[in-house]
Amino acid sequence: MLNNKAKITMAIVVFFLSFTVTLQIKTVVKNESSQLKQYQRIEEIQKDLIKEQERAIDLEKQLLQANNDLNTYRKEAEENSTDSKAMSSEVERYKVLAGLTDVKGPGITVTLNDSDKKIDASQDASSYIIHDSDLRTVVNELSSAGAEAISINGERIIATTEIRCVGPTIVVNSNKYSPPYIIKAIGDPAMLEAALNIKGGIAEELRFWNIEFSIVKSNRVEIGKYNGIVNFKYAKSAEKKN
Amino acid sequence: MLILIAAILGAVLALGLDIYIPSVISRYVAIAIIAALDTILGGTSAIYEKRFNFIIFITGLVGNALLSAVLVFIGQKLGVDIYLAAIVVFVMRIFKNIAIIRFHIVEKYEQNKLAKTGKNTQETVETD
Repeated sequence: MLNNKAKITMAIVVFFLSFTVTLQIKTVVKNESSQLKQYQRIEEIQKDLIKEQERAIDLEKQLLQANNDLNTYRKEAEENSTDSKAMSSEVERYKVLAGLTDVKGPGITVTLNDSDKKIDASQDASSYIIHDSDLRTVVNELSSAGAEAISINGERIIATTEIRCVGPTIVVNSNKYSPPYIIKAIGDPAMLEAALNIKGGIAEELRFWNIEFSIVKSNRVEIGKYNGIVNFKYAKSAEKKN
Repeated sequence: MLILIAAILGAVLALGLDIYIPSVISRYVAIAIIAALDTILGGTSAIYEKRFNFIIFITGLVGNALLSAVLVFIGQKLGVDIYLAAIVVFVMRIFKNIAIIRFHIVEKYEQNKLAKTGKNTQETVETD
């Protein structure tokens, strides 16, 4: 009933079919197992994340405790007058953080200059010059990108620094300056540059009005200390001494 | 039988080779396999019913496999699950063809049994 031709045809066809079916099953099993592995990996990572978060909380607690201990020891040292060395290195550290010392490190130098484009009387001239708000925006962008020290034309920006415009000049730390403005910042040069150059950011905006805006990255930016006098007349320490 | 050997050979070869079906066409290969399975069983039932036609078998095999893959592809682009309908049709026909084959095999077996008992009674009559 099965002639030879049909038999051979069937055999060949069945061979190819079983070959394909087995390949397909192999492929599907492989894909499913890799998907399973991905889910397992996600679960693993989630567990790790929770562990790390708990660790972070523990470390914060430890830090709080260590700070308390430090304050206690400092108090004792004060009273015993034995560890003034620890105290003075503490003071040095605070001077650096407060901007009262020269600092150096990797960072960028930004140069801004007014546009030298000749504009006719019909256009608003104020759009083509640098305003104090522009400088404040640049300083803000740099700070948010992690700048640890910033200066404008040599004036170190500290917590009480003002950037204000008086007529055609800008006043920083009670000193007058006119363009070009050289802003130096110490931090991660790539991040600082990127923060200024983001789309719709301050660099794009100023360049649109033809204001010169150049950024130079460097491995060694030197920023001088704040030259004025810091004296608090109103703010008093609110730290509880226990 | 030769067909069984062919099937085993195909499976062993596929397991041995470190080759896979590219995942992009995997779903179309799946439906084409069902179509091919249906056509092969259709061909087998045609053999048992003495109406096997080589040309119809081969064209049906290749045509159904390709057609079902194309339909599933179109369905995916349209957002319609055409592969569901294809599966229903093919599996229905697989069941029907297997039923026909089963019928013929059982019929043959019973005819053989009948022939054997018929011969036995004939022989006993003759030796008497």
